[in-house]
Amino acid sequence: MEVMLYPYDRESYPIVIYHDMIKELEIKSLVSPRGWGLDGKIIINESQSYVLKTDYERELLACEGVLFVNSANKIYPDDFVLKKIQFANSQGKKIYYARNDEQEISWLRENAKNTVFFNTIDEGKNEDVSSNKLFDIQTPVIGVGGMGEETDKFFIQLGIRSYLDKKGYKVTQIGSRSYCGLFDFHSFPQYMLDIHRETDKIIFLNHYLKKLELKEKPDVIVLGIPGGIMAINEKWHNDFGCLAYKVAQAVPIDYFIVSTYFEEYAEAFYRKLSERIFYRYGFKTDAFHIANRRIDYVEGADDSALKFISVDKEFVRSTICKYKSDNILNLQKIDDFHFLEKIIFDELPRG
Amino acid sequence: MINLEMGQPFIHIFRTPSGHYIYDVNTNTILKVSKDTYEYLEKKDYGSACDLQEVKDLINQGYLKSNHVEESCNPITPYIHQYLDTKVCNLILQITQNCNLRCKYCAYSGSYKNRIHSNKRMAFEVATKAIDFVVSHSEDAEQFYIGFYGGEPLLEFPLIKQCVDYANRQCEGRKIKYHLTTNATLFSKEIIEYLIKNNFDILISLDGPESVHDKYRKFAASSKGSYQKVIVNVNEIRKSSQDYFEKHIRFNAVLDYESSFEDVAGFFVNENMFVKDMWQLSEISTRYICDTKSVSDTYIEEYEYTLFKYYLYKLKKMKRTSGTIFNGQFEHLKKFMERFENAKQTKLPKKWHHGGPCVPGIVRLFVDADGKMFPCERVSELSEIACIGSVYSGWNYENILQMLNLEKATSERCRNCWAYQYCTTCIGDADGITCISDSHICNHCSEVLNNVESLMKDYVVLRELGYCSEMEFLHALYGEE
Repeated sequence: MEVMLYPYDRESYPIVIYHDMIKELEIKSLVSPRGWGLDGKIIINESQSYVLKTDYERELLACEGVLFVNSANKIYPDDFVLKKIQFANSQGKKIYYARNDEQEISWLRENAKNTVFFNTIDEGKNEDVSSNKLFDIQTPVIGVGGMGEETDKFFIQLGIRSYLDKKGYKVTQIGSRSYCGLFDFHSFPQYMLDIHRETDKIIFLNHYLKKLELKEKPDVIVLGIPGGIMAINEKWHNDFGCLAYKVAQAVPIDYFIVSTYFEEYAEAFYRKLSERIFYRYGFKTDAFHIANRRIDYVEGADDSALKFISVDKEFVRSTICKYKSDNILNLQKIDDFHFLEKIIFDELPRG
Repeated sequence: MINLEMGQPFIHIFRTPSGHYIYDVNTNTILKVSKDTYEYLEKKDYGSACDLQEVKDLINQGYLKSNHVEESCNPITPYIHQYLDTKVCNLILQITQNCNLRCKYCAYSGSYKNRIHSNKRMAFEVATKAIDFVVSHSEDAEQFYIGFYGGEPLLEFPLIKQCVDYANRQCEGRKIKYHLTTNATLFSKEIIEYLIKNNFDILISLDGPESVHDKYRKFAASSKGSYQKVIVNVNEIRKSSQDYFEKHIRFNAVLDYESSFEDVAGFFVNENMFVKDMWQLSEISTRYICDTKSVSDTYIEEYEYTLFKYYLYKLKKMKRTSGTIFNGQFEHLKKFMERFENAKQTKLPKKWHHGGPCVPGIVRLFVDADGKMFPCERVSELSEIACIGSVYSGWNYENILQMLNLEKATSERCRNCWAYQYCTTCIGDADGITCISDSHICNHCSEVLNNVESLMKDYVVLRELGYCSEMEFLHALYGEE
């Protein structure tokens, strides 16, 4: 099925780059709202190059369906995407839905019954924690955490998946986003984000993972941790890394990749960060990914919300080149994931 | 015994009636010290041995370092292209240079070198180019701000409507906040309804009571004062929507040094029409001015006395005061305080830049009637060096980088200045129209130094007398016990 992806922005970049992991859907075009400043920009993945468009109605004509995705940009007004969904439905287009908007979901369930939903946010919602026992997870676990939002965590998770798939490993994966069903793996359980006793959440996640381990019999588990692993400062506290702490209590992480914002730090910063992670969570950090995003202290100075600015990829790479450590990386292409060879030989059973 | 021969400590010392202080530049910290330590540091005789325990302690705790910035480079410089490509969101359109008033202190009045009233208006095509330019450079922006500026922008109300229609189409999917700076004499029922419908934030120029306001703000045609007309129109807005009035209308008073400050302060605080903090005070701009004005002693006395009463009010020593007109300024002081209280630096970086310049085009993008772009509405449209491009040809990177790294013109002096981190000198203060003017910068330096020292003194005195911004914040959140 040839689909248009809407509304495109940096949030859906991983989907476009790893589109070959999506079964049955071929992304034909990328469309953004006109006001997002993306008209005419080019996104290239392994098999094709997309020129971003802003004329929704015209692009719709050329597609069989629309894949509606979440966006990093705030969209205005609130019912903006709903109106696009309604229009697509009125044109008889098949709707694939990977967003989290309750109003839209409710409308689709009522009015477009053949919609395919990828947002598996209900996963694990009704689990009942009836035992305090923690199980031993025997399969090696690769964890991916970040300094906060917009550090490419999901992009890295897809890169790892793609690499391990190609090497022939059987992977069980829990991703940090809600629409991992699009890539045929599990989303981070909603239970962990709802209001429950914190201890129950830890036990629940352990049990959930054990069940997946027994059921799917993977060679390796890849676990993406949503949000940030620690507070950035007094103003931007990332939920103080509470979620990451619960994950660390529930799951023994064997190999941990941390994605960070870009900054021209001295190399010692990464050693200190690694120490903080070890003493807080109990596992060593094996690799750092430096994202092409930097905290925008200009716009963020008077604002309580974190703001970001993109950084030129070459500038990021040239900064990384100055470091002596070989585990500070900028993971962009599938070839960049060769560093995983080390753990494949050291920690995982042969594929 | 120690001495500080290793290097002169990079500090600034100052006194208040009840204390001796040093501002330690490297750690960005204000420290209360003993009289002996103060006097030792005041002498600057660092070659001689010092047996003061306090000085030893300060050194051991990481203070009194002699480090200075070694290379002037704005830390934004490596990222400026990304900012200019993706973060532009705050557009101000000079839709006309014409005005129906002739205020003597206005930038267009003829009292300044940069502007004069003319019949020049922005063509719709220029406005659309400006809006398109912003949209195509806004990938990482969150929302748009579009302001209409003049002259008097409401002289071009049909053009404002055209621009809003166009922007609403072109900025599909993003929120736009519109704003307008006006003399409030041209409001009609239709205009008020339109502004309310589109949630315009409006800044109205109102200098105080009729006797003060009408002194300068006169109609061009009749030379009569505009106060009565402004008040009638403001009341029309209130009648249409009191909620809109309270949320979206603010007043700007330009302080006239020849009038009574107490009258102005009393007007804004006591006039029933105003809701708390609806006003802001500004001084007559001295940038590009032909002749500067002296300030009378009476004015200074009234100003300082009102401010003094306001501080007593903040310290809960007075119940009510007309000094609440200083609420805006106090917020500025609180932000200044936060910069010390959150200080975490151990020393100055080797490569840095003083705090003066904004990121041109990002904090604001002012487009004049001809489509030339400037970092804000307060710089001269005649300036060659303050122009950051045009809506037709795009950014002028050379000027932008020069503006961003303004310190390069005076780097030796700046890097040795104790107020380095609090400097406010930007292109508007340094603009010699064809080049960066060292004499303009020098003039502004003394103003900056006085302001920063004055803020530091206010800060420590308020602290000495028990003011605590954290407590005020917590009281606002949870109420006073």
